[in-house]
Amino acid sequence: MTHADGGWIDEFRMRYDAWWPEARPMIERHDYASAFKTYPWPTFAAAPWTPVRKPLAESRVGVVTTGGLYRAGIDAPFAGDAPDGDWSFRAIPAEVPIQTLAIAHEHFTHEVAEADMNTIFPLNRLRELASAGLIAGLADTHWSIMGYCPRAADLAESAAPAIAQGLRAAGADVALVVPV
Amino acid sequence: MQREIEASGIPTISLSNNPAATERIRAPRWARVRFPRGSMLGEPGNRDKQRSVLMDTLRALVALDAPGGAVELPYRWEADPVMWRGRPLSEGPYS
Repeated sequence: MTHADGGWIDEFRMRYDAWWPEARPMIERHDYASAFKTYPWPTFAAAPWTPVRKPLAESRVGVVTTGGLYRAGIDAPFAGDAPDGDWSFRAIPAEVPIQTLAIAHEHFTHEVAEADMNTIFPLNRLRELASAGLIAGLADTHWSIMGYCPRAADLAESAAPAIAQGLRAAGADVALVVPV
Repeated sequence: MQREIEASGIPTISLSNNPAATERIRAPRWARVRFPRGSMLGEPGNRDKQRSVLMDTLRALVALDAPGGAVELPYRWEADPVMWRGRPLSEGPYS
């Protein structure tokens, strides 16, 4: 799939391949601080930009969470504890009750989200804003990835363009990204 | 992720409790929150506050007029710290 923001990928991949053999044993013993001291964070000269074209009250909102949420019994869980992460994605239709979603992401404490999924995937709160006329509504589909993903190039080449295209197809005028 | 969505033609904003990381990737627009990892809209069950965080963030999406623009939201964590690997978190991913 083509991507709109891929100028950094080839260089990142080379640096990642050099980093991974040394980082892997540290990650496997959960010494993330040491492993990520030398992680080849992608660097960018500028931020991309799309102007907002409509007032909020006429805009449908799509949500992307990195909380590792998935529909239990329907979709496969993410590889929540894989040392090199998981760069796949899950579509979550707007009508799915968010409290029925499961979490596959071993890099944060689940108790807050399990008590109230709106803390990382605020579809119910967005519905309330829509009822009050503050936004036009929700996109038909929302998206989840698993936020522990050192293989940034793989995420950028597969999940990111698919989600961008999916958001458009789902009628999103704007997108809210909730990192976890 | 956010960069790709923005570059493909959909305006985006993200929440961030980790300004250094968000600045490093040059996110198009972002709103800083002082909440612990895994609780980006505030305390569980606090609907009014969650709606305020959301609405402030969406208003910033419309108001910010230059790439990389950010707003700092005034909200603080008003519950016990969230424990992560033996450490109490209340304002960010590591603190």
